[in-house]
Amino acid sequence: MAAELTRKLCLIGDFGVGKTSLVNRYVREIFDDRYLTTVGVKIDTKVVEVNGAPMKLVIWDIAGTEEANAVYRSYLRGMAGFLLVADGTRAYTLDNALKLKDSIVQQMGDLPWVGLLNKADLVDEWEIEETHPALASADSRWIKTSASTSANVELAFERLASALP
Amino acid sequence: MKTAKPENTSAEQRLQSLRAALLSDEQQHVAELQRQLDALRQELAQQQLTPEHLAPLLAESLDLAQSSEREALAGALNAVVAESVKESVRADKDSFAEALSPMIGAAIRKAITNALKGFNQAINQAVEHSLSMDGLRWRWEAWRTGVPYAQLIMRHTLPYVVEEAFLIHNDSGLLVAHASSSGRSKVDNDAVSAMLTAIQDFVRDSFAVGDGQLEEVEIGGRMVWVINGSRMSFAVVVHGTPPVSLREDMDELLQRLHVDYAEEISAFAADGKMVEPLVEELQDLIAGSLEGARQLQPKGRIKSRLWFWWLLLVALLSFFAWNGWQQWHQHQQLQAVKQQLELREDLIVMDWVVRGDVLLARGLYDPVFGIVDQGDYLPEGLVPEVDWLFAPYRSALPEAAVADKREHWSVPPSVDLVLRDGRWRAHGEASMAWVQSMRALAHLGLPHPDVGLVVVPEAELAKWLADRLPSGVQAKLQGQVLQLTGRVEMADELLLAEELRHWYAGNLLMFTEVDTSALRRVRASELLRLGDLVAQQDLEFATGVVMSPAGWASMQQLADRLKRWIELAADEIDARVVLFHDATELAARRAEKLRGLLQQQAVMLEVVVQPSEELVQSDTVDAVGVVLKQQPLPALAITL
Repeated sequence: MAAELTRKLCLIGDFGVGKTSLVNRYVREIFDDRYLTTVGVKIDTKVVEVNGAPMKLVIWDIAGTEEANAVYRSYLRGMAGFLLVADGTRAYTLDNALKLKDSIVQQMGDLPWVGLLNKADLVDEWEIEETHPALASADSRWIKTSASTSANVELAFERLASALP
Repeated sequence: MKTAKPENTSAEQRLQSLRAALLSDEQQHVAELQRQLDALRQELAQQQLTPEHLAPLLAESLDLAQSSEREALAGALNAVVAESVKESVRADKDSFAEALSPMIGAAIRKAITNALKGFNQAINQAVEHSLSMDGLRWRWEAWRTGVPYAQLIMRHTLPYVVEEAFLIHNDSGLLVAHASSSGRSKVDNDAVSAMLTAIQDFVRDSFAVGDGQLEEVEIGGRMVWVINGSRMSFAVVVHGTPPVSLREDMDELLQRLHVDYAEEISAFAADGKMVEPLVEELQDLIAGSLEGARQLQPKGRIKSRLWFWWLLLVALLSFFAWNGWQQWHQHQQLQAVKQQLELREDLIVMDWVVRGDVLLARGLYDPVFGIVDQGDYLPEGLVPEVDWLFAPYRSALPEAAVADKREHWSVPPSVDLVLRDGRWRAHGEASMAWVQSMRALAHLGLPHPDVGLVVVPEAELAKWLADRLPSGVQAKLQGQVLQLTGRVEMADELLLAEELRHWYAGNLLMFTEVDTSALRRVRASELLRLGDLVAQQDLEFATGVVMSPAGWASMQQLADRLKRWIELAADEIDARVVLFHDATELAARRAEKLRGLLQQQAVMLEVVVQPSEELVQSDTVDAVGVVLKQQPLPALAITL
């Protein structure tokens, strides 16, 4: 499937929330994971179908960071949307993700995004209440995913792809 | 008034004296100034500026000119400075070289490094292409045009080629356009583009070098050059050693693309759709670099051509194997032919080699064994060309001697010739003429074969003998003895004896002995006399068929003579007695009576009675004839 349209997506979230695992589940790996620890970003591509037309997603898997430094901001530049990833077994990662999202929206405008509450397979360790304000609202953009079982991973990417301009 | 005048003069003089006394220094000073002024005026009028005048002004003047009239000054000094430099180099080379060496050294090092890099690459290409189709084509071209091969390689190979070109959107890192010399990329170009952007960002932000950008990445024999524009970056993967001008060209191209495709770039930012015209522009850039350096192929393509070389190798091996087998087979066949030739005892094969397509066959043969024709030995088409030369010689082989003698003596094929105990012996069947010719040689004391055992065909011998033996004599060969039978006249007998003597004398006989014991001598004259007597015999009849006594006696005499004739003539002469009579019945009866009487007298000859028209009718038997059946003896006529 040849795609004429290309879109840049970013995977954003704390260390260890499973961003890279999510991407590896979803795409054919082009570059080694070591890029993440060297240049702090790893790029993969995936062609999806949106409204019957192929669209190529260039996915920037950006290494988790404590703060949005200059390099981090450079990596986000030009993205059409992003996936916000949090670890369902560590509640604070959701808060950090929301903070990052606010910061991004503030700097780059209201870009389409989809939230992924990862590690949904680890039910026993789950820390985030369903009543959490981010999840409780009717138009919540958060989806529970599992990189281990592939649950909802495809769905999350497709949902974001169809929301892209 | 005349006196007044001196007064006036003296007053003048006094004033002058006073003036001189009071103002002499000033006057001198003024005069000096006046002189100097005149001199200056004169100098100015002549416009003669001396170096002394200019020296203090020169430095100041040049300083002023270089800030305000820089170009004019540079132009004015150009030729002078060049000449001056030449002059000073001529005057003092060492110090000039000393002053320049730090700069020149660095420049030369750089130039040599670049040249070596290019040269190294050219060598690599030359080696790489030495067996390629291009290499072969260039060798052909070199041979055809007379231009050295090395020079052609340099002409055909540029030291670089642009393998890939990326136009990257600065904001998103998305690929605006991409082109590749090989048509297809192994990696995902979108990912490469994004990663390149990420690395750019990473380098710039990490090392915080302000506006500094990553411009060049070197990987093995390839270089990634990045030119940064305001909205797009331009990255190319270059193989080889690109000239500096390439970067300038890329810079220029990027700027032009920004202007020419401003709208498309804006649209791309919105829809992320690759801009096709830009792809074409990149393809043009790559094609431009390829045009001069078509030969510098990416490794992958060379590998992909390996199958061709494998195929060629297999084809060559097959060809050589086939050719080898063909040659081996031909060699075997030729050896077989050679062996066959050598079976001939007289034949000496001196050369038997294949040179190129030609079989060189040289040797000697004895013509008495027959000629050596290549058509009799070499199969058609075994060798494309045959150089066949067998020269005649005389061999010392017994067979050769035999053949030689056979030829010399014209020995017919039906006769064998052998050399035994130092003598040539012939045996077999041959013509009488040949046997006689051999005997003639012997008679003359010349070398000859022994023809004692040669047999002459019976028919030929018989004819030969018939031609030479008197009539009535028959010959029969009993082993080595020729037996003569039949009868011979006395005169003929003499001739026969003479002939035999001649045969013996000439050693012409092919039989050791002639037996004449069975030959009977015939007296022809006696027979003739008897014949005459028989013809004159008178036979008298008394009456009717009764003979008179005289007639009876005559009849008995006739019978005796006939018996004697028969005796002489022996059995070989077959004769009969014919009794002719006239047309009368009595004559017929008398003849019949006479026949009966002769038979009674035991005349063992056939007696016939026959009427004769020649006889006049007279009631008598007028004539009796004795006719000999066998020729050539003369007929005996008996007249009664």
